[in-house]
Amino acid sequence: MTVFKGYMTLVKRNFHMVLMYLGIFLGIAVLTQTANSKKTEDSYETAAVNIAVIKEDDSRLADGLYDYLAEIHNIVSIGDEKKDIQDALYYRYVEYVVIIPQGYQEKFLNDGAKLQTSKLPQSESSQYIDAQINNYLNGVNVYYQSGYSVEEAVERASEQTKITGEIKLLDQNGNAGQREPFAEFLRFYPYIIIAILGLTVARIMMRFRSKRIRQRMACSAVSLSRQNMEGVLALCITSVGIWGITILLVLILYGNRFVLSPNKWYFLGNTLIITLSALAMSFLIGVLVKKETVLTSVVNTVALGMCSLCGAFAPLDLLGNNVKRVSQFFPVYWYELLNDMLGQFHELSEDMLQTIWKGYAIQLAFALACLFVALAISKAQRQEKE
Amino acid sequence: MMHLIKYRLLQTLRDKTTMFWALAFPIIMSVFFYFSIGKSSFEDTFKEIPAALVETGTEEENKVFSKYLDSFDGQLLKLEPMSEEEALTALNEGRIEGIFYDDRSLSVSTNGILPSILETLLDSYVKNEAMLTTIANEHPERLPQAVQTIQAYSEMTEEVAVGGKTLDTSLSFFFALIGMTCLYGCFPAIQTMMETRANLSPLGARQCVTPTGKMKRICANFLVTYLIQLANVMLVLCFMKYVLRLDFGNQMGGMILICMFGSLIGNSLGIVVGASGKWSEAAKIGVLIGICMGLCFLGGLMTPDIRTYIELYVPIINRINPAAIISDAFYCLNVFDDSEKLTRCLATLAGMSVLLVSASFLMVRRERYDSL
Repeated sequence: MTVFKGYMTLVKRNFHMVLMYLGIFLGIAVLTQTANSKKTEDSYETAAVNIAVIKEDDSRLADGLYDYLAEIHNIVSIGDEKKDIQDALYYRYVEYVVIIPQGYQEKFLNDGAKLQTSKLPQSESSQYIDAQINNYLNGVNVYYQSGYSVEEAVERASEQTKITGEIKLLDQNGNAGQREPFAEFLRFYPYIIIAILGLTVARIMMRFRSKRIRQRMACSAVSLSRQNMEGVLALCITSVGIWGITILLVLILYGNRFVLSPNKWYFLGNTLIITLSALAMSFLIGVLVKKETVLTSVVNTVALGMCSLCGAFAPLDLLGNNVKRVSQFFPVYWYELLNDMLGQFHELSEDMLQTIWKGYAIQLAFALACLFVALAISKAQRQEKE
Repeated sequence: MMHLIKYRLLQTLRDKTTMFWALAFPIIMSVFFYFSIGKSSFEDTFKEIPAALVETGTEEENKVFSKYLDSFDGQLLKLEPMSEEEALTALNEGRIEGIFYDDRSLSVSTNGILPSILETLLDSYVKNEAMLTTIANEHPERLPQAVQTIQAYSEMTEEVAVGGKTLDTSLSFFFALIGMTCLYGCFPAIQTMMETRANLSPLGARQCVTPTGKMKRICANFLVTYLIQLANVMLVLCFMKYVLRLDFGNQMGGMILICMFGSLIGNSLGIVVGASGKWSEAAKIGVLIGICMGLCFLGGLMTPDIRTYIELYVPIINRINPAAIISDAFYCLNVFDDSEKLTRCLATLAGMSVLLVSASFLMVRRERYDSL
């Protein structure tokens, strides 16, 4: 098992790098999960955000709109100069600014004038605020056109905002309809594992693929297939070790929550299989890439690109259908699909179980395909004339 | 000096693989971003959300609600009539996102984006129904007018950026990507720095025995890597504007200026890490990867909300994070039209670059070797 020992020696020498990457990427995952969990909790109910309403009109309509927004959001007082608005948005004191100009009531009722708004570019809550203002003003308009006075129309529209449909949130997973928090954390896992394995495993592979090392190993009595298998075994052990550290972190962060989850074994299986897929991809990258300076770009392209297309950063619900048709070819898509399903439902139906096994199979098939291609290329490289 | 610059330039340009990937990575990422989070991806996202319709009675008003939902069938909704038991089973199995009851209620199992859209449909109907009922009771002669006005529902808000220009919200990811591309100039910079250190590379050892001063060599290398990185960033910017047709407004001059300062900080970062310590190249590249990913993450590349949290709790990070500063500079130019803050961003980037390059000079000056 000389080749195996050689690989493990390199792994040991680079272990501090592995730990550094783990620290950085897991830190990123924890922070992302913290940010995303807040967004997930609030996405169903209307979340109060900090907004500014610059009211230059003293009309009944302006007062009504102001009072309505004050009921559902936090109104922050800012100056009405352009610089004040710039500062408020730039420093994120507010996410949304609406200006009610002087004489707005007449312009709105006679000509349907629009309100000018400014938003923080990265704010998603601002879209809901647009809808709220649109609904309110359209309501006022309907009442006014139906013969009500402005005061009556504003009063009726304000009362109407309190009327909502009856909605029941069925608690299917014992978590009041929320996704399990560790599922949100594990959503980021493919990026972590592809990046770490790509940067460490691929680098180790490149050492063994250097011309002199390859030539010396070609002269040995150990067959190529045996060499590759020992290398794969060593890297598998490394990958499983990294997977184990991540699961340990999940246990530390979420403790009993994860242990008591009825789907924990499926979560473990899903993460382990994507780890093997990431290993196979890293193996292929290590065989193909010859220069270390290029490795960072290649690994980042694969990791960031695949994860952004497959729902690791933006939820799968937000991806277009055309994008999903393409991303279904990648193992990360199936990982995210299963992760979402396992986080949402405690009881798994027959159809869900079939989807889970199908997802596992596709991820493993991708891993095997990458591995076979890497081995074929490795053999071809051995046979090339030098 | 020109001799050094010329041959360093030739040496770098002839490394085709590195040059290709330095340019290909941001272009490929911008294409992925364009399809995954760009405007085009939302056009076909919310189509045919699967939902069930359960009929609970035969009242006329229940049928009106059913007809209202049917009007969305095949477009926003994929509606299927079911019994309550079948619907609950389908909801539990994840085959549908919600159950509409014709008594005007909705059951969902999560609080995600798709159930939120179903809730909006229900809410809209209930509000309009209440409105028309009120009008029918108080002003029945104006009911046709009311119905006509409801059907003419229109947008009552108009987004105008503070500077008078509008901005597609998805562009924030592309700004973060340009910031990342600028920072990635650190990798060619570290490579050139390693090649000047005699104890870390044979080429460095050979260069050290020449009469050419170390500072001259470092300056020449820095200039070449900076120019090449700047050219790469320009090409990426042009690709985004002219191929992906992202709307950056008419501020290309300003964006080029920001990219110049961004490339400067990226190269400076590579220079200072390359000059520090006696670690191997792999170790230094690993440190740089960690730093770059950390900075890009904190600058909002993966999760835009992180900038808001940092501004609330640790705002100093947003003031010194180059990725965040580059993003802010783009916002100042394209959205806020704030030349004062833009100047401050660029001055911060320039100041940090000077600091980093000065630190690297201090680390390597007067280095001598007893034996190589």
